[in-house]
Amino acid sequence: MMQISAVYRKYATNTCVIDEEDYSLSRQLALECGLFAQDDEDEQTDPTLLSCFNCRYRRWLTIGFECKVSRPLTVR
Amino acid sequence: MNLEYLICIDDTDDIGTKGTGEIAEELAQMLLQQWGGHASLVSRHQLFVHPDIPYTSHNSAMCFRYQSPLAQLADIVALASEMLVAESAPAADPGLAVVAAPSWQQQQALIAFGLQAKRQVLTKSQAYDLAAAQQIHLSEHGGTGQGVIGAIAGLGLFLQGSDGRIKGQFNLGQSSPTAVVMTVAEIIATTGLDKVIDTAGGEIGANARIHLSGKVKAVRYQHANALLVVAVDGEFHNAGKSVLKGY
Repeated sequence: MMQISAVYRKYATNTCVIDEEDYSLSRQLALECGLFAQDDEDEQTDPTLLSCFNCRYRRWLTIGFECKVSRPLTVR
Repeated sequence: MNLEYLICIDDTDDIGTKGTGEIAEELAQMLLQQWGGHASLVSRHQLFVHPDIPYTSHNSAMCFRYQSPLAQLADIVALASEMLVAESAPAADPGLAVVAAPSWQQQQALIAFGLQAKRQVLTKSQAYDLAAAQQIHLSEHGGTGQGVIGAIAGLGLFLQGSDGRIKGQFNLGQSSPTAVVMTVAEIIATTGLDKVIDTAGGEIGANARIHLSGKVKAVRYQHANALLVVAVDGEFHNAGKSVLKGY
């Protein structure tokens, strides 16, 4: 699993790709993001609502998804 | 006698706007108000995800079956076209595909195209060639019109019968984490679904007890709408989002 600090660095350049099965990291990221907005219920794939998997700003890729938020994450 | 149509739309939304599934449901309601008849639940069909495809966030098409004693193909196309123009996001590239009671030959051609659209990049000209060859209505309603590819592919995936999940969820009194327990027969009678299946596709018997919690959602399986369940410690539970994602 990619460490959150490494993800933050990648997010700052909008090139982060989260692995498809990395639920725990996605939940942690969504919790700390501050910009989470839920996508249509039909497009949510994580049973925990607050997760990048359920965010309208994630865009699916062949190997996972990317974050389309143009601002860097709010880091606690 | 009822006339039967399959209607599919794609690429109508943008981040934060009304989803394609919601527009499909509204279209079904408008058709029912205008001409009566019966509309199926809307099904969502996942298409190929690739950098060369300009999808918003997940690249899925939305399809439903409409049966009416009154509506003609031209009526449906006119109403759907008007709605797509009015409801689609400004940045969207909406497409509409409609076929009336498809023949075996039309079905096979559509299914082949739909399955192709799940694993490779297809073009608008390929979509229009198929529509012309099989006499299927296909039209674009804004932007680049790229949505015609997913729209006609969605028809094929609906016809394939075991692709996609049903839009929306069923409220059977369950909540999370507290489960309610119902028999398969009760679930079918309450929801209007056709069957209950496990993840291997096996049909669960009418008297089997199913533990329902969280969001209860259905999938398309063998031309039916089915509740998907997983076996956990000898009990059947409705499948969660992470399992449903594969459909």
